[in-house]
Amino acid sequence: MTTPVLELRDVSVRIGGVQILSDVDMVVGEGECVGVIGPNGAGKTTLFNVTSGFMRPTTGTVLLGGSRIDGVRPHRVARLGMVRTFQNVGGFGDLTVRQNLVLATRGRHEGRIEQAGALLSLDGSWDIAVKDCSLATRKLVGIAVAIVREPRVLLLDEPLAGLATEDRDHVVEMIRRVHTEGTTICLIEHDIRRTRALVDRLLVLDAGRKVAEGSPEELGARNDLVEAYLS
Amino acid sequence: MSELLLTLLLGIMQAGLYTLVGLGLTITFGVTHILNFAHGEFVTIGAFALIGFSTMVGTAAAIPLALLVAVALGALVYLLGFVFTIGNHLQGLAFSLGLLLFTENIFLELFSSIPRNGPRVDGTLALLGGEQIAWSRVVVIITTAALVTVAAIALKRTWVGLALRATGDDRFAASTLGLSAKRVGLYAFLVAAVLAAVAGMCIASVSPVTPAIGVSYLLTGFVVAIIGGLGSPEGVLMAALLLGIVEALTSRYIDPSMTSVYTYSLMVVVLLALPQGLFNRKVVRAG
Amino acid sequence: MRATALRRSGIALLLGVGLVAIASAVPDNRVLLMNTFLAYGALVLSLDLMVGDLNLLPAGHAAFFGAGGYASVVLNQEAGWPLPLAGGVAIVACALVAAVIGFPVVGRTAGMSFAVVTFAIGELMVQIISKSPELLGGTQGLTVTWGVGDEMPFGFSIYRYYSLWLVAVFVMVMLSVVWVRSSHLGLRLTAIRDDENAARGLGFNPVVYKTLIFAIASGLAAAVGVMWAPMVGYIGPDSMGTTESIFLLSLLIVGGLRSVGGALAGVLLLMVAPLYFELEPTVRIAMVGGALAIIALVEPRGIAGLARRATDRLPVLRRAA
Repeated sequence: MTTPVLELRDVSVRIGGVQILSDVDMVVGEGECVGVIGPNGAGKTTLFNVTSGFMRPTTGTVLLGGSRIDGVRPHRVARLGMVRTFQNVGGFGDLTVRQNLVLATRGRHEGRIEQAGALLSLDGSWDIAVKDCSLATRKLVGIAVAIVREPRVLLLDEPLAGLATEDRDHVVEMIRRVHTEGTTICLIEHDIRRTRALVDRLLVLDAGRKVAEGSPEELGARNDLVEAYLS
Repeated sequence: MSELLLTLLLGIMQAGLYTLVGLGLTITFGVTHILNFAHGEFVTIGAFALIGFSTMVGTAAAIPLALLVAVALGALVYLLGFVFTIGNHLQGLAFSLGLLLFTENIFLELFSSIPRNGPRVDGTLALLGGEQIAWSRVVVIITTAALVTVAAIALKRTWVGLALRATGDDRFAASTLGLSAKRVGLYAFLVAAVLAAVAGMCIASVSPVTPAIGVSYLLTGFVVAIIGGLGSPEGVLMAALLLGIVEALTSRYIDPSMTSVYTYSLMVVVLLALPQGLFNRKVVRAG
Repeated sequence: MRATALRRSGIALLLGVGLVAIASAVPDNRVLLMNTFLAYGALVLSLDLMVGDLNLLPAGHAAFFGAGGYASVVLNQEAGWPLPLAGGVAIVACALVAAVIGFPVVGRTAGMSFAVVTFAIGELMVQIISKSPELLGGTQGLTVTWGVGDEMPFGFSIYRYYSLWLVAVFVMVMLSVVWVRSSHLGLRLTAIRDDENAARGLGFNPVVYKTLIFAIASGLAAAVGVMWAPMVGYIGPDSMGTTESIFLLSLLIVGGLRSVGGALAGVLLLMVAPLYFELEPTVRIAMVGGALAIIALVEPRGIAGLARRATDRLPVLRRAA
């Protein structure tokens, strides 16, 4: 594996009497694309919330580039280079596509905006308010907003949720492009087939525990996993 | 000792009035998510309807008549206004602000700002130790305590109460039970109107009132509803008791003219320390 | 973005020049009307920074207007500071007080607690003033002795002289609104209004921005108060209570959020016109209330929304746009 950028060590989250995550370890290496899958309620979103600072782990540590970020507030985590998208949202509805990107770059790096627009084929819709865009475009705006910040790790929370089949293929293609450009990605997805085709490594969560980890090929060779989680 | 008892009784009387007003605010907010700034006007309506009718037909007949007026007006503003604003916070808020300014000033035109007195129960009751308390205040304490108890039981036991609470907890789940949010909203407004009107009648029977009474009780109603955590009836009761007793004690033992300074300071401190209120159940958004 | 900001600032400055011309030309019996428009226009526009741009709902905007007036008058009359210094200190102090109060409250998800805290602070100020007859004049208010019997510059009456200052404040508020809305700050505010968590995810701390805007808006309201008090020669606690704050909110909502034109139209229609026709205060406020209730049901975007609808209906205008 390449140098680790993001590391979760023994992360547990307990809310009230409910154990949401139990001793989860996760490492994302420089330039990798890691997929987190698992049934509803497995703790995937909690894992992301802990990673991006929206929740504090009950025990365990989160490291970004070797320094601890657990307990750091979300806007600070974001400034340290961890950028996440949210499940149902992509970009800010009241702003145009370009304004969204200007917002994300804090008004600098005009070049990056053009690049991201070209990379994700958004340059046709610069001046449309995001709330008037199709869902697929919104999702791409969400990704574009994240990549113009040149994140050290990009967290994508269900980038395909709610999309029609042809849009899914398009968005997957765009994520692949972003990954090929060198961005480190960690994503949660329910669309197992497309995730397997997209990522370098898979992590399977169930009931708050990591039940398996490996390349899609390795995991695909294990019949028990395929039956339970990978089909 | 007797002085303390009297002070506490007066505090409890105020607390009862605050609870009646705050309960209405909290119930309508819980069900419709409308923060009704015009709610205090039901207090004014109750007070002035009682005063008006009691000179015409006597106190006994005036009480049901005044309640009827409050219920009718509550239904009217809901069916002609608020029902269309459900689901849009800012719209409901704007409508209620408009209604507040409109009705308050109409009442000022109609009744002028000269204080008026409602019907009184004569005589005083001697407390242990020699202090006297007016019978009309005792009646108010009993009425509010009884009504708060009835409301608490009704919220827990009756069908309407359950509908109000279910819709307040989860509008979508409630609609799957066949509870229409709009219908339940009407119940909420009617209950709120009655509680506030009773508060208004009680106030008119212990102290002189002007049309500004509505706004001042609206404000304390908000205070108790929000300190109690919007949407929580138990919270309203606790906050009202806290506020009423602190008010009574400070005005008796520290400086009567500074009472409002202390209560508002208390409120600022509570809210700075616990912005969600003491008993909050759900997250509230502005606008 | 900078170009838009510069263009709009240009328009604001031109408007300022126009207003100065009007202020020196209006007949004597209409100067007060003009001043009312300027003061309420500035108050409503500064309020819109909170309500329109951030969905914050303050119930104590008028309190900061009053606090500005009181602070400058007291510093001037009691402490003997020169008026410009007293006014400047009053404005900065009000902004700082707002920041200190706002910071702990503004960021919590329960936005209603912001409304209640601002309401409580406002009422607290009113109570403190009413209970301090020596220093602050109590419920009677304070009479401003400054300028009585003095010669005003340019041979203006005191009302007309303060028109110029109110124009200055008005333009300052317009410029603040323009710069907030057409700068990167405006984008951040829109993002926070849209989705606080997503804005956090981009590294913007909503608490900081809300506190900042609350402080700016309150400072601007104080600036209006600083100019208003010596103009009318009096300041009392009744001008800063919750009812007054709610009245300002009503003017804004009737006019339309996030629309300078709409907000000013609201002030003209509901504040200035009724004064022109010399309606009684109760009738005037009842009218504002009625207008607000109706417009809330018919067109929640206010006068600005009605105007937009009208232009959408006219095909000629649409083609031209």
